[in-house]
Amino acid sequence: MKRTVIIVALCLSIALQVFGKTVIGGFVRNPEGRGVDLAIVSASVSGPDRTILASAFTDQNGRFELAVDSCGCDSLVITASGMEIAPVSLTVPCRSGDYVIVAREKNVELREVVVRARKVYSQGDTINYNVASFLSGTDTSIADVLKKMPGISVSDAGQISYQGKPIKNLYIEGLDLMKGHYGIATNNIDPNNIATVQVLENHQDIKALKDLRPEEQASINLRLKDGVKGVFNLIATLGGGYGDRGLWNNSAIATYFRRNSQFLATYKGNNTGEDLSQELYSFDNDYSRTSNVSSISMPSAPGIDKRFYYFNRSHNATFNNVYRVGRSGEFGINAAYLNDRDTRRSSSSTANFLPDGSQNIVDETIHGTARMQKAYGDLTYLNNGDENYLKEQLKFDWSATDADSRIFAGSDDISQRGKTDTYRLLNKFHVTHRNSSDRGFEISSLVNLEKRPHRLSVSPNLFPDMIPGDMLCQHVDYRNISSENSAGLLSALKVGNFTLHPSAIVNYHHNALENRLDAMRNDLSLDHLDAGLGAEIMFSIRKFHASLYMPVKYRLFRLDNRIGGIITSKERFRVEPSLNLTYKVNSSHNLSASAALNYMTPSIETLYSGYILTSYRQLSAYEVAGLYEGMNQHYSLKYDFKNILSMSFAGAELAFNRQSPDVLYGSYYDGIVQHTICRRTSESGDMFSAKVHASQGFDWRRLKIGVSVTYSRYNSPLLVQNDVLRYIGNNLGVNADFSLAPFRWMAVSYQGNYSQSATQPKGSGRFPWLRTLTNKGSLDFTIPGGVTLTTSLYHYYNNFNDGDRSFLLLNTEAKYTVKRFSFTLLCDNLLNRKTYVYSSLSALTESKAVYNIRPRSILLKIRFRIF
Amino acid sequence: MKKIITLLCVLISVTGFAQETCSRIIDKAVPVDTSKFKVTYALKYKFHPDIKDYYEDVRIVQIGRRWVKDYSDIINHFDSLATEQIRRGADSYSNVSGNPWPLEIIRPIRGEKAGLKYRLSTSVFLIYSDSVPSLKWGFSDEHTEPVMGYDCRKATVEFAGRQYTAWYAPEIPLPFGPYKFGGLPGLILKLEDAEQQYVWEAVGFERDNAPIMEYSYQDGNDKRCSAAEVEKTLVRYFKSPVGFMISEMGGDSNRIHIVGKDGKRMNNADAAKISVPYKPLEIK
Repeated sequence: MKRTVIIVALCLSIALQVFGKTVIGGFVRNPEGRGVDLAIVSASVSGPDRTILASAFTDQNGRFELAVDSCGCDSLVITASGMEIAPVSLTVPCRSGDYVIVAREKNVELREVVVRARKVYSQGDTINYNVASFLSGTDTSIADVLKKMPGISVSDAGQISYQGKPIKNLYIEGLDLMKGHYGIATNNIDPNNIATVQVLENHQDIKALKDLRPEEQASINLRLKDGVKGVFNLIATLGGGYGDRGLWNNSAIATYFRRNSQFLATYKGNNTGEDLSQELYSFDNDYSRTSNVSSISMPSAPGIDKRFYYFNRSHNATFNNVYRVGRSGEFGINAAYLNDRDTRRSSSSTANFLPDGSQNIVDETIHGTARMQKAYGDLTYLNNGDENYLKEQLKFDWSATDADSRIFAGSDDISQRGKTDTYRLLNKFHVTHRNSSDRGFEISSLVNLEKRPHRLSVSPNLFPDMIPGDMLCQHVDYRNISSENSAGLLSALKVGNFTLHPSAIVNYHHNALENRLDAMRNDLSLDHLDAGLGAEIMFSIRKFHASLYMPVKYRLFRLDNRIGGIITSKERFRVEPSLNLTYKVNSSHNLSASAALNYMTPSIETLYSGYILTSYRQLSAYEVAGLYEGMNQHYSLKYDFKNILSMSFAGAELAFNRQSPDVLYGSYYDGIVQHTICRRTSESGDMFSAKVHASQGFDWRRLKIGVSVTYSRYNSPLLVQNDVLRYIGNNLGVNADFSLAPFRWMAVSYQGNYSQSATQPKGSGRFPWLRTLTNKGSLDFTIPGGVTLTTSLYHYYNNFNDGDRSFLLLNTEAKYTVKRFSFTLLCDNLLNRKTYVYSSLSALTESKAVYNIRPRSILLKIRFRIF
Repeated sequence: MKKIITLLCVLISVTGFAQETCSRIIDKAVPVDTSKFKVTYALKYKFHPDIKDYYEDVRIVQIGRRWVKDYSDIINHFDSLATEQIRRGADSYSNVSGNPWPLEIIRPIRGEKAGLKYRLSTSVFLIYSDSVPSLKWGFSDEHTEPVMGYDCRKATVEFAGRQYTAWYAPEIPLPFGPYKFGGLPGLILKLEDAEQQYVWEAVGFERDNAPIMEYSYQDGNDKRCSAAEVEKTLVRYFKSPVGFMISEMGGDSNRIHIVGKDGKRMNNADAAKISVPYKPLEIK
């Protein structure tokens, strides 16, 4: 048998030689004699070119066999290579034969080319941003990364906008942990924990209304990295430094994200100019129904970053927790506390242009301190099933502000003190039921209880002719009880492409205002009832959707002025229609238009007839105390564009507003004092605005460019010194931003704003253009050793300023990270600028102010992960 | 599940019905090997050389000790998303976006039979095995522009009725490439046929330690067939994609709404007359 095989092999070898083939076989083995699996063996001609003639790879025993066409050469080079051996070559005669190639074991050093995940991709109405593609070493919160994503912008308070419109909800792994207070999450969550940011376009968060009611606002969902889920994280920062006094900046952020529960708690404290109140804002439109009728005068905010003029001492702590309950329910707790002290100093000159062409100029130097405490606690239960939706939310808010200031105005040395307390309890209830045939009902109810006592005392009395005494002390109490209720049917009637949603509303508001200023008093209440029926008619056909809402309301106002014992009431029917049209051309282009008409309602804040000291130098009373309304009209046309593959986002919007009030409110200036006046009117105010925005992302060097241009023109009436003036205003604003990482060790970002505005009283010449320019540039680069240096330059230009119209501020920081510790050395206001001059123009009022800003300071922060 | 897929696919654009790929639930999977190397190719392809525009795909070739798997990263991504959505209780999910090549191939390192899966249009999933021939490469001493920084050499081969040119990197001693190609003394980093109907170019190469998964799609739409039957089915499909889909849905044309290039709804009978030019990858 063995002999037969040898003979056959010999014959085959001879036959191959005869037909011009050379068969070279053998083994590739390691020095220990074991065969090398999957080694490539190639035969090439000897010589500099080494043209390959044949190749094969070895079997599990290291065996190979090469059939080489006749090349007419004397010798061949046999080369063996593989991923786990060093390449080895043998020169052999050009004839058939067996060889053993011994190769040294060595792993091939590969230059790996890692394909990054696509930066942005879409899936239906969801746009996914891969966080790693936008992340850089200096980013400390998810807000820093969101700013670099095309189509997304983030305000200083942490509010996120997509395509220029604020988002509705921020979810973390599908759970609404933060409710409306999501600024805490955007400003504190470590971006290294987030895998993907998902923009949910047209996301109807109530599942029972899915495909039944379109949603214009987008929502965002943060997808966590797998390793973050179920892991408790605690990151602490300790910071200390010196400016004109000792500085501190500390924080601790704890997170725990599981599939069925999430937890985020934060503590922050600083006296370095970081505003901690901003991130506690609620973005869910739960506006307060009372406001300060009188307030202490403090220096107003100049148009520069708050960190430069904010002399603070602030602490805040937040607690946020959400649990899944059952398959579709969740229960959430959100609570926060803020303690803040703010000291400001400014000198200002305010000029009001009067109808006779003269000016009323007020010069003030104010030095004030405000101490604020604020707390909220929210409990939320939500059940979001496919057919049933239930949301019950109880919210409590409290704030207390105690402020005092000293003012030098003209020859007067004035001291004032103000205290405001606000208590508020809000209950929101919403239930939706839908059955399988898209029929069902929806009920929502809101109850608001609010009380705002506030005090203002001023010395000396600037109104001795009207109020006796050297000092003015005033107490005001403003209360509100509101109940807003609606009930409706989901698609009660469906004919072809039309659906009808009837609804009923009953809203009741009770406002009460009491005050005492020396012998002068106000004690009045205003009741407002809205009751009516409405119908929403919707028409949908493929890409086009139209909705017309027509509520007919019975409206009743009742004003009870208890001091005079006068009761005034007014009732009428009102129709407040609104129309929305959308045409989704395709996945890239979207057109929408809207029109709405509604009526203004009288406010108790403009109905009191006894004097109220609204500020130390302004006394207000409303002589035309009637239950007047006014009409608002709003029209808009909007276009949106997006191309996910090219990371392009753009949009344009035209809007027109007309306000036709029954009563015009204004001021009468008399030296530094000011009286509020009012008059019936038939004038109306118009405003036209146009906005274009575009945002483009690039794969190249992580480049993102964003631009927006806004133009607005208004033509409004103004009541000054008992004369009604009309004035025309023009505003042009250009915003631009870009971020770029040209090298792995370098990143650049820029934000710029140019604004140009002017006003013109009708029949007079135009005031000069006010031009302001803000440039913020930041340059990060990492030097050998892993230290990242960041330089931030802030440039402000204002052409109304006297003298130097440009103002420069420079901050630098150095950051070094080793294991779980990150060290940051910051130097703010490196140029040690002491004051900032700011000019502004509003209607027919021009003001110039000089503000004290924070001096040069140095701060060392150590950030470390405890867990 | 069939109902869900049907509902998702009833509105089909006539410009893209050759590319309407459904996501599949990939919760049933068996690891067959561990990938040691992962190569990412950008694939440009079209169904016929006369078609002007290319479709694009991102292909992953996983190389293990025993198996080599070539699949679409885009389809796998959408399959993963759909699986996650269903796992979280969603009752529907989106189709694959883009135009990936709906073919998955898994072949043994040594052996002559490969397992293939072709995801055809709305519902049909063709599962078959096919031969992997030993290719007789012609080598050239021509050095070319580097691909991903690797110097490449050129080789040519005739395979299944087409003439192919490959650029391989001797620095990466792995005798593999996309589809059924391999056997060169280096990893194939670029490959194209003479008509440039299919063009693969590597855009990523890295060591890997991920499992090579073999998925089972058990929803009643899988058809086990021979390679010849697959080719016949594809010819029939491209001859009338709409007619094919109507017949797949039991001849009920009311379940399909065809939208033309102008965005308007088309008559199904007219749409069924439209064919898409098609020339198979393996001509003979």
